[in-house]
Amino acid sequence: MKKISYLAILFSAILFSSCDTNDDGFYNNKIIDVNPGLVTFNNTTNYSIGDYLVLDADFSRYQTEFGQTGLLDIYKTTGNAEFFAFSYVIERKINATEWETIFVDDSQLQINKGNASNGAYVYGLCKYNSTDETYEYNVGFPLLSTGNYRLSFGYNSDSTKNVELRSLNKPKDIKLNLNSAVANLDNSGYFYFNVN
Amino acid sequence: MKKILIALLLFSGIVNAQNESAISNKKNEFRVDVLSAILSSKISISYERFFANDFSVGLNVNYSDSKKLTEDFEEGYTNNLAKYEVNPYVRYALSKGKTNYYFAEIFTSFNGGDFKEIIREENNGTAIYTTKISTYSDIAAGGSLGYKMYFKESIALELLVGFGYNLLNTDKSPDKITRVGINLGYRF
Repeated sequence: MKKISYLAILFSAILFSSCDTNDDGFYNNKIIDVNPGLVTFNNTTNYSIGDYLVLDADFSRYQTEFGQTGLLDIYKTTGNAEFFAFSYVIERKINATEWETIFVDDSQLQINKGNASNGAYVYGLCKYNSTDETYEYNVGFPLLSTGNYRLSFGYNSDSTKNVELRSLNKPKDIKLNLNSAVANLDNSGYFYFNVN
Repeated sequence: MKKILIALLLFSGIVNAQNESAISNKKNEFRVDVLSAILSSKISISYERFFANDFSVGLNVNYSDSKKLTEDFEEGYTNNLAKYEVNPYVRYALSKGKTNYYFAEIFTSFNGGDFKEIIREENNGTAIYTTKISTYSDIAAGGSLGYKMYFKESIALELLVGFGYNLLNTDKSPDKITRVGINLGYRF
C-alpha cells in the first residue's frame, strides 16, 4: 500500500513537472502598429455582376511605427521577407440575419500584383518589389451574382478595424505583424456593398 | 506473459537477496543520467555521500548542448536556453530497505544559459528590430522523489522526478526547472 502511495506521488510529480508557465509562446514575434491605409479598396457601394472588388496594397519597406521615432525598415527586420500575408472575407447575405462566405476558384481571381488564394477567406500575399522597395498587392475578387455583400478583415485576427499583415520569412528571423487601420469599415469592421 | 512474470519475480528476488549491510558499508556513489544523455544531449553526473541515518547528500552537475533545444530557441519557441545546472541536494530514504527504496530530496540549483529578446535599434533615422542574446543565471529551490535499486551490491539504477522554481531572475530564466532522469551508478 505504501509503495502504491509512493508511486502515485511519483507519477503526480512527473505530470506536474511536465507543465511550465513561462516558456510557452512565440518569441520571434513582434507586433507593431503602423500608419493606416496599408491595404485599401474602392468604397463604391454599388457594383454590377461581373465587376471585381479590388483590394490594393503598395507600401514602403520603411514604415512609421506608432510611439517610435525613426522609420522602421520592415524588410531588413524580417531578414528580407519577400511577402507579407493578410486575409479578408467576402460574404453575401442569405436571409435577414445570416451571411455566407463567397467561394470562387483561384483562377477566377484577377491577380495583378502579389498573389492570392481563396477558401474560407481570401489569403493575400503582398510581394516585395525591389525596384521601388515596396510591398505590392492588387487583386480583384469577381462578383458573380446579385445581392447584399460585405467585406471584413477580422478572420485571422482579433481586431475589427485593422488589417494584420504578417511577414513570411525563415523560422529563425523575426516574424513581424503590422497592424494598419482600414478605411471605410464600420464600427463592427464591415464594408457593405450591393451587386445589382 | 507467464514467463515475464516469472522473470520479474526472479529479478525481484535477486535484488532483495543481496547483502544489505554490504551496500550500507559503501558510502559513496557516482551516477550518470542515461535518459538525459539519450533524449536531450545533456551530460548529467551526480555524486552522493551516504550517512548511517537514512540521509545522504550529493551534488549533481548538468551541461546541455541539445540541437533540438537550440533550434527551438533560435526559432522562437522558447526565449531561454538552459545550459548548465549545479544542484546540491539532501536526500532521505523513505523505505527501510537498502537494496531498493524510495527517497525524497530537496535541492537548490545554480543554473544558467542564454536568453533572447527582441530589441529596436535605430541608426541614421531608420530602425530595425533584431534579436539580442545575453546570458542569465539564477538560483532555484525544489524537491524530488525517486526510486533506487542495486544490482550486485554496487550497480545502482535510479529513477528521479522533481522540479524547482527559480527565485531571483525569472524575467530571463525559466520559471521552473525540472530534475527528471534515469541514472546508472556505481556505489563504493
